[in-house]
Amino acid sequence: MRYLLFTMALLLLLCRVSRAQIGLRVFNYRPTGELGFVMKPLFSAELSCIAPFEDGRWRTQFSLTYLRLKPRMDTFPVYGVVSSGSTGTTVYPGTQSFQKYSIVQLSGGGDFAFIDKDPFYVFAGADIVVGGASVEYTSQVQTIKDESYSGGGILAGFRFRLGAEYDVNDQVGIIASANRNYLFISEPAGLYGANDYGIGLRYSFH
Amino acid sequence: MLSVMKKPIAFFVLFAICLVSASCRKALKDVNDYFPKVKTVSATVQANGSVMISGEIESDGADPIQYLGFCCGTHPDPRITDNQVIVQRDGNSFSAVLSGFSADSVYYFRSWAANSYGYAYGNVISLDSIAAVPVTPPCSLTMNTVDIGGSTGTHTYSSVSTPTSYMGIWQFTGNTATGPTVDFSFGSAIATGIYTTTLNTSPAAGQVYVDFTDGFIGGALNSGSSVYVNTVSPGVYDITICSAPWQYNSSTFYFKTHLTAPH
Repeated sequence: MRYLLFTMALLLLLCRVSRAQIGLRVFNYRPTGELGFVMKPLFSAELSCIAPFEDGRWRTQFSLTYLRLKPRMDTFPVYGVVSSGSTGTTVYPGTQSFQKYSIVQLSGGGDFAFIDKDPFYVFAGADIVVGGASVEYTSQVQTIKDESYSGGGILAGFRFRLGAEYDVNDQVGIIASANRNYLFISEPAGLYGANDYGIGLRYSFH
Repeated sequence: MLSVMKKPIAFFVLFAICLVSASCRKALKDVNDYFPKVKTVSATVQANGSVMISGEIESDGADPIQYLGFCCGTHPDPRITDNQVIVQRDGNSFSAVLSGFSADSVYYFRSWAANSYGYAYGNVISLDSIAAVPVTPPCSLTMNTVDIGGSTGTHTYSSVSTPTSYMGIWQFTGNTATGPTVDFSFGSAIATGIYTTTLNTSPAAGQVYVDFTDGFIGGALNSGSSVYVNTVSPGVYDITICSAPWQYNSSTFYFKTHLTAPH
């Protein structure tokens, strides 16, 4: 909750800096690699401050995203290995289960319209991502470990984007985009990846 | 129509396209495809009462298999740690020989494999009445007697020790009150079967070194004679040697014994 309030306040501040432009995007988030093994794809939404391209090829944007990831298995079959001179190698079975894995992330960066045919734009962009993860999991391997974790973890990374925008009028634009996310999450510590594909609306108050 | 793309812009676009499209490994549709898939193919009782179990690797999963093996037990759902045997793969096949079964129990055998994502089991095969095929010696001798040949006569064992393993050699001793003391050294765990005598004091698997002392006389059985072993119950063996030659000075004598070890 603290993460959410902090990031929303930061987002509103950034919106004031970048004038009153808001966007809402719904997307399909698809974890890849190790995260894709553990977590299911999901649909979510992000709120953003996003400027139009009308002032040039460049624009800035800041986004707030909430992801409530669900594990692909109730219990993952993990194992541990013990080797000793007298008994040789023994493989011990175990389990790992995730009770909670939620992410709040704030992204800030810019887009460059490499195809600029007003009101149609095709753009590439990049963001810096910071945030937090709320994690609960248990991990147990017979005779080796029996641990549980409940708490927060920090998150940092980058995301890169390709998209297209069609401006319906001076105030409304329709955006379709695909992001590639590279994230470091501190608990369980690791470098994770995900793709997301979504569509959204941009609205200018002026 | 389209804006002119200058070289730095083209580079930027290419960079962005590569990053977006060249994702990390895409998640597999079925989470079970990350884990190995193995099958328990057969479990066959051998003549000596051991069980040859074989398995097949259907898939390594999303990463190469790191550990592979079998487990077995007397409950229908054996787990990895139940009498675990770790084996090496031979292509997509793997096998092991397990022993130490009791004929009056049902045993359940199961293959398993583990890669970096986790582990998975194969199917379960059950066997009951696991017992060795008895061997029949070509002679009938009185139980718990020994005759080392010559004119020394037949003597009765007063005790036979429990076979114990030392450095891979299974040894026990038969004592008589009136005659010889006989030492047996098997080159492998004792099981039902026909073993061959050797003069090597460190016998190989399938061989047995038999020596004895009787007062001032002592000797060891020549190489090449048969020793018939039947497992009476786990850890108890019926052993027969019909007529095994041994040398004393320039003479040849014939050794006979029939005993239960231990008793």
